Amino acid sequence: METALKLARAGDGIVLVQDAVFALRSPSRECRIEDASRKGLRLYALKADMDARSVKATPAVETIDYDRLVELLIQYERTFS
Amino acid sequence: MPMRKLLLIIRNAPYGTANVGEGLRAAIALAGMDMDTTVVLMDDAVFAALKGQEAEAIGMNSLGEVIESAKKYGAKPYVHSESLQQRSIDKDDLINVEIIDTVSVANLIHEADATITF
Repeated sequence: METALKLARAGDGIVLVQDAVFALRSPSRECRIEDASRKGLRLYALKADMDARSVKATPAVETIDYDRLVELLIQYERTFS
Repeated sequence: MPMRKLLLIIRNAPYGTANVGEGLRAAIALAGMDMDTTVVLMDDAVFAALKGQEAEAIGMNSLGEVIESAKKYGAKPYVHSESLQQRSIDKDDLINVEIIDTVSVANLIHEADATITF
């Protein structure tokens, strides 16, 4: 997550799936989410993975389902994982 | 979009898993097909650039040499400076490979048509 935040630029989106959703639970979560908004990044997290791991949604991060994920993959010019 | 520039980012430690070898081999294959191919070693993958690897001891090819091969085939290898610092690795500990900072890695990602991580 730290690396993703360092490498991303304004207009980029970061999608958290699988274990990456745990980044929304850690104590430094608030400050990372602020960093992301300050840099002009959009954050998304997959609901199914959050529910499985008992990770609660937060307003600054868009909770998405698979249909929305597909939309994002098409919407963004390039993606990598 | 036609593929012009490719970036491979390798993050895993060498030898314990196949990721570094596979990433470098993929880079060599792509460069051999005339793709503009760049490889960045980050996080634990920077260990692959250490001088003096003797991988015959475990029946493998030394990845330092595979990095040199990659250069010969036209792939551009780079090592990430912050990852080196975090692991207390000096330039003198490395084979001859260019070191770049985090901003440069971000630039490479944003310039590439596609990025693949290993």
